Amino acid sequence: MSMKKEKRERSDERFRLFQYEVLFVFAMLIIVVTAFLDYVILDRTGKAMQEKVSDLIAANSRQIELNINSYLERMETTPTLLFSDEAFYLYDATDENIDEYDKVKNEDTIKNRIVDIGLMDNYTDFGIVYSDDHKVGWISHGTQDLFNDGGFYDTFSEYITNPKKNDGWCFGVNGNYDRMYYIKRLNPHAILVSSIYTRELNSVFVYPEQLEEMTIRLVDGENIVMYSSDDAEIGKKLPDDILNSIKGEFFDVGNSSSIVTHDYLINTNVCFNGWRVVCSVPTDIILKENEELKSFTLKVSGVLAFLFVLIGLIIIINISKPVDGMVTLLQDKAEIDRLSGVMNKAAFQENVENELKKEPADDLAVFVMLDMDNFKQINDKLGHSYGDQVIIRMGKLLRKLYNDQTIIGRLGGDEFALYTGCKGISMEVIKAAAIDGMIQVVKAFEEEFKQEREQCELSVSAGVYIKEVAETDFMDLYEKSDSALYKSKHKGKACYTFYGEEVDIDEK
Amino acid sequence: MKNKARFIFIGSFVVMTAILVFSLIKVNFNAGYGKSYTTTRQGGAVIQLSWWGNDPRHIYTMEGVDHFQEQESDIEVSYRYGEWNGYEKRTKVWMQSHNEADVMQINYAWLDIYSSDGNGFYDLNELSDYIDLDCFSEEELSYGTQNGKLNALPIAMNTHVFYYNQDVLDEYGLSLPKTWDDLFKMGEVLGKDDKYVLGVNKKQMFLILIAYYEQKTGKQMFKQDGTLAINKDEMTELVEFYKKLLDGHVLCPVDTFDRSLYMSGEIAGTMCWVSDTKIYCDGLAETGANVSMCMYPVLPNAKRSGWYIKPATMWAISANTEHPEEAAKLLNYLLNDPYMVKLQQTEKGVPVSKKAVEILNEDGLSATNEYKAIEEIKEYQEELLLIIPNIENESIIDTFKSGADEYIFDKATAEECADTICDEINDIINGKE
Repeated sequence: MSMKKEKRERSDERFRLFQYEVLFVFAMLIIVVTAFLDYVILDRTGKAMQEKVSDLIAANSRQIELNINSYLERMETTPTLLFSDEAFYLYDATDENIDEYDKVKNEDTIKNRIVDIGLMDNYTDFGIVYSDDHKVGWISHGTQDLFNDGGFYDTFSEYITNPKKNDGWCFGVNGNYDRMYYIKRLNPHAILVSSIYTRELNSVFVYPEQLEEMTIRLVDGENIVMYSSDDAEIGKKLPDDILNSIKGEFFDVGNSSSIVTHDYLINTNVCFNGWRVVCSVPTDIILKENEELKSFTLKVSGVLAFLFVLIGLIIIINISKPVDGMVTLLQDKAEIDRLSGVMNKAAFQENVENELKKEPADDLAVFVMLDMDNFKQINDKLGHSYGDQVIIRMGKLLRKLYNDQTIIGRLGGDEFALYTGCKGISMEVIKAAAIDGMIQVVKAFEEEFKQEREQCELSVSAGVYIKEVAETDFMDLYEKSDSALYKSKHKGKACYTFYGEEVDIDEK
Repeated sequence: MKNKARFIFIGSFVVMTAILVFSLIKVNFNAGYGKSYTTTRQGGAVIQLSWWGNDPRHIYTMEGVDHFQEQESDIEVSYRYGEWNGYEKRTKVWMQSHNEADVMQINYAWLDIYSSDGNGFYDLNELSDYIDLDCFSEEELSYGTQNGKLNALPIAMNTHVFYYNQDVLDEYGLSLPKTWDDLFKMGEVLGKDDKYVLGVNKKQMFLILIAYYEQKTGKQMFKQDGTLAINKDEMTELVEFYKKLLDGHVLCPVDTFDRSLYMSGEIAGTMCWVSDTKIYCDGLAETGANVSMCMYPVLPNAKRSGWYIKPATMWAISANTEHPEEAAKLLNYLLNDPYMVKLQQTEKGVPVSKKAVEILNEDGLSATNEYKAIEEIKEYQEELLLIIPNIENESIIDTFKSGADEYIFDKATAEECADTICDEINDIINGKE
């Protein structure tokens, strides 16, 4: 029976390995599917959120652009009111043909006009400068001090860059960064210079408190920051990390655009005068919720995957149990003789051959052939079903008599065989044990089949062969013990014979 | 064995489900899902602040306002500002249209113009819970009191002071003028190089002429009730004197005067409010020039100085404000808050508020040119008179200037100009009444 057990163990191991493989594939499948779903869902939601946030900020930035445009347009519109009368815009203070009195009166008129039209705005400068640097109106000391060495008119004239409207905007004039100027030419010898403090734009660049991490800037054509919610940036070039992200095609399109980089969500809007509103917010801040959601989703899917694997494991274990039993049953069905409950001939032969291969060549073994005497009479007198019962009872008897160390087989009809490996035991001891065994078998048979003996003279004959030659194979064992059995039959049945010995031992 | 497996199975399932549900609930709470999300903005009071001045004042005032808003997060302050020239007109538009700022920098003269009965501005006595009035003496409070109502609080006391570019004087071997004759002698010297002794704006020019008139006649040009005391003959002489100042290169024509001429040395000196010291004294000193301070020139045997003092500027609260308490907090901040006081320093003159003076003393107030000017002026305290509001009336000054121009540019005689000036000024004064 040890053979059978080992075989079963091997079979169990193969089956367990198969279970592990199934479990591994199942777990991998769950992980891959979960990871794929996570990727798809997170990627889609991430992109959707980025798009929405980007759109939202673009909408806000657009509003800021409209605000700043409206502000700048008002700064452009107010000076146009100087064109309502020639006295305001055609006057040339450098004209030597105008007498001093008329000059004073003309300039009084212009001053009053400037006061009237500039009344309601917080202008830092709002005045007319003539080509001899003479000024009429509000020109602040701050601006005047930029030109202590002269060049007031010439410098500002150069900032008139729009030839159609004869005007222009400028910032950073002579190193001043607290105001931005609008210049408009009135006549060949006069320009209007107006300015506001860039911090006035605080009222224009109002952003929702919820976006307090956002930096909002107004930059000129040279990407110099004129206004920024981060004061430290004012007067400097747009920070490199922002500039590098938006330069190239993105920046050259000349329209309003949004971009989400690894570091920033950036939005730029172009003002009507070519300046840009550039808003940026660190991506990890604006998409913080998305990251939290991502982290949460990964955790949940991790837990779910674990849960599925665990459930799968339990299900597989539970499913495999009956399968395991079924496999064992099928195996048994293939190997076990249905009637006697011992191995059939093929299984017996296979098991014995395996043992022969496994055992050291010089180990001894006992091979016994058993054959019931007069079994035919049982069938003839008591019927075939009774005969079957006798076979069943014979199988039970043998299983009862021998432990797992002995392989039991039914070789056909009423013929049975036993094989017992005897590791490290001497021939004498084995032989003695074999004799004892045979005596026990015969005795037990007589007791079991007492009635059948009386009715049909049923008895058992045995042929015993003790293997001692290394080359011995199954057929050799079979033939030798069969030869000994033949001798027992020849001697008158109900006895056993050792192969190679003439000693007949009476069953008595 | 079978029961054990089932127990593990059910147990694991329950534990995992519990973890899952707990995680979801936690996230729900954190993310606020499952509840309606509302975005709210705390709507605090929005008040306006208005002032006039030059670049430094604009910049530090806005910085101070930012600081105030940080302290008072439920108050939002917007502002209106501009330079003095034209600001009176701006104020007139606001006041007449009842569209003035909640907190206003006002000129002393405007108390009479807009609040002769004390109802033109808010009575600050009613807001004494928010404004530290103990920082002001009775006399100081009286400057802003109209008809028993405290309409405004003085920021600083102000008078006139003369600053000369000492390097220019030295170049021409001139010393600081003490008399009007000194000025004419200086004009003779500087005129040879087409330079002027003094460059001033319209209002200072008028004050110089008033001082001369009052020294000469011993009379005030405007009576205490604001009416004109000068007669037409005296006005004729005054117009002629004005032309003499211009022709003698004592005074640069006000239309030509530009601070840059003073800064460049084309004009040797200027007369300004003590509160403009930063611009005319410190500004010139920053270019490397030596600057000397000087008081009014006087006539020998002058009967009075003609020298006036006034609250430099004042803070008032609109009578129409919807947020008097918030406005009062801002007003008190502007006068007494250490941060604001240190930002302002002596830009508006030496502060009146005792608290502000204490704060500035720690910062070396006595070393400032404004402080020195005020200290020097104190020696003449008995001669100083509290300014009569009409002296600063922009319309009156414009009328004088444009009338005098007729004579100066030979479009009319001095007598004709004097006639016109007196009539028109009287019309303005009467019109006001």
